[in-house]
Amino acid sequence: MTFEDCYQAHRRRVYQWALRYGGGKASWAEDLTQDVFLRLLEHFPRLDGHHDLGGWLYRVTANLALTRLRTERSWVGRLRRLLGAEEADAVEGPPDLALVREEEAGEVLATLQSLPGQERVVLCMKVLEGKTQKEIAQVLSLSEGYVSKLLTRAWAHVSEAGWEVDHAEG
Amino acid sequence: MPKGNFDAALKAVDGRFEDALSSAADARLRRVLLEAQRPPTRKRTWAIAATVVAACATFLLLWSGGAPRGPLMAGGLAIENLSGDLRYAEGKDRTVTIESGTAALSHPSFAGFAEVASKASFLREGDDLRLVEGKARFVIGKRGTKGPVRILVSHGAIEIVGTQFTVYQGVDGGRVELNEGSIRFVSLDGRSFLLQPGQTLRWPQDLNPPPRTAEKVLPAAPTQTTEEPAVFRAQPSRPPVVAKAPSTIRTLEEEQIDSAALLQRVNMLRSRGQFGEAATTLEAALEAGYRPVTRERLSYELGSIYTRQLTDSAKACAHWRAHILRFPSGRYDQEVIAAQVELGCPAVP
Repeated sequence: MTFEDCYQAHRRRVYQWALRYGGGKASWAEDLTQDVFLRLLEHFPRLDGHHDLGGWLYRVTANLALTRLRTERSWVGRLRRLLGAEEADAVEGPPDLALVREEEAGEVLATLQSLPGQERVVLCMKVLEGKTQKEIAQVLSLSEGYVSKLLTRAWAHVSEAGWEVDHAEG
Repeated sequence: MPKGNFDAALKAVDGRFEDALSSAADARLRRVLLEAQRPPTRKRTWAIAATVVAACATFLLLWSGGAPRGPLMAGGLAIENLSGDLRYAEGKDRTVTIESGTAALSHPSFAGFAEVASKASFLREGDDLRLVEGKARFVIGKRGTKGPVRILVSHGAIEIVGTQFTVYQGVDGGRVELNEGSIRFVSLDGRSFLLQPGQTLRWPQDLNPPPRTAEKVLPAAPTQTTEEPAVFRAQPSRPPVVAKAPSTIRTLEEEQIDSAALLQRVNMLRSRGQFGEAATTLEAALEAGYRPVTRERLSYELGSIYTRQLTDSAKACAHWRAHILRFPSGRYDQEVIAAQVELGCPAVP
């Protein structure tokens, strides 16, 4: 299978994961998708035919999303926001109005975007991708206990935002 | 008061993220990935110099607050700086003029992009893009459900089926040169001109009303309707075409005109959502004794309908397999393989 075949077969799924982790921001998801496939291009010669490419892309997408979200919250990101460079992002949410128009959809995305990066990614993996805490811990190279803590915090934030939650125990 | 169940609301929103990758974003991603696959051609010293320059630029960007990632925005258009030395200006009427450098322009409703390597002006008009003046090469991806992508020019609009072409718009007129695919020029008075690869249409001269010995003669296909456009033929010296039944012996030129009209009809059926009828038309045409080059195109279109519109995986896989056997090393190999991968077709033993 060529790189082009892999891109063709997986681009939509990767972009969908990226949209989730980006809280629906199309430009953010596009950047992340680009990073994921550039990473695939870099590793492509070393991936053999037996590799679970879907699983590999899933892990890379989740981890690159975490790194990107973490950087945005770092002092560099804060400094850039302070200086106005990311003004467009700051006023963007809830973004992508073409995609999401209804009030509730806007609110759920706003809540998702308000979560810290790790909480957001872990929550999406749990709710939307149906992963267990153990699986999440393996994909993100975190301890199971820490994943549990992140989920508890995420549900608390969601609840504080006025939503009903099913998973108060994390 | 609680807003509702978060899980349910999140899952409802997530449903919209499926298949949300737009053609324009896909085209941008492909371009970046293609660029990344090109082997470096400069000498090492240049690479070191470029690294130093990039490091300095990064430092300056951080120092000045940094520039946002992704394309620049002007006049509702996303502009990508492809050459690194892009200069552009936005006029009061939101016209965007590329003054120097190479750029790719697009907007969210435009399924493709315009690549500009010389001075050219553009204006976004709703879902369409107007080339106000200058020259640009357009690369258009797959259409969505919103109808054809349109490029507006001084004397009409160019409707695109999925293709590559170059448009030149001067002060009093212009031309479009079709490199690949199929486009239709719709003049301001509503007449249609279908172009085939390699043809050029100039305005206003090619749009003048035809003499009484009509140059534009439609091949009289059985299911033809009055909505169908005239087929544009680039050389005015060509003799009028007499329509013949598909099974009679035709010149290549006649066959091209016939097949263009046929594809036009198929596209019309597709745009109306009559995919079954479009597939039946193509299936019949494939039995009508066209030359291999024409049959290959028709077969490709039929496979696309099975794959994209009728979403009949079994039929599509069988069709693509037969297509590859009939047209080994064909023009659409890459697209056919991509479709097979996407459908998960079983490997051919």
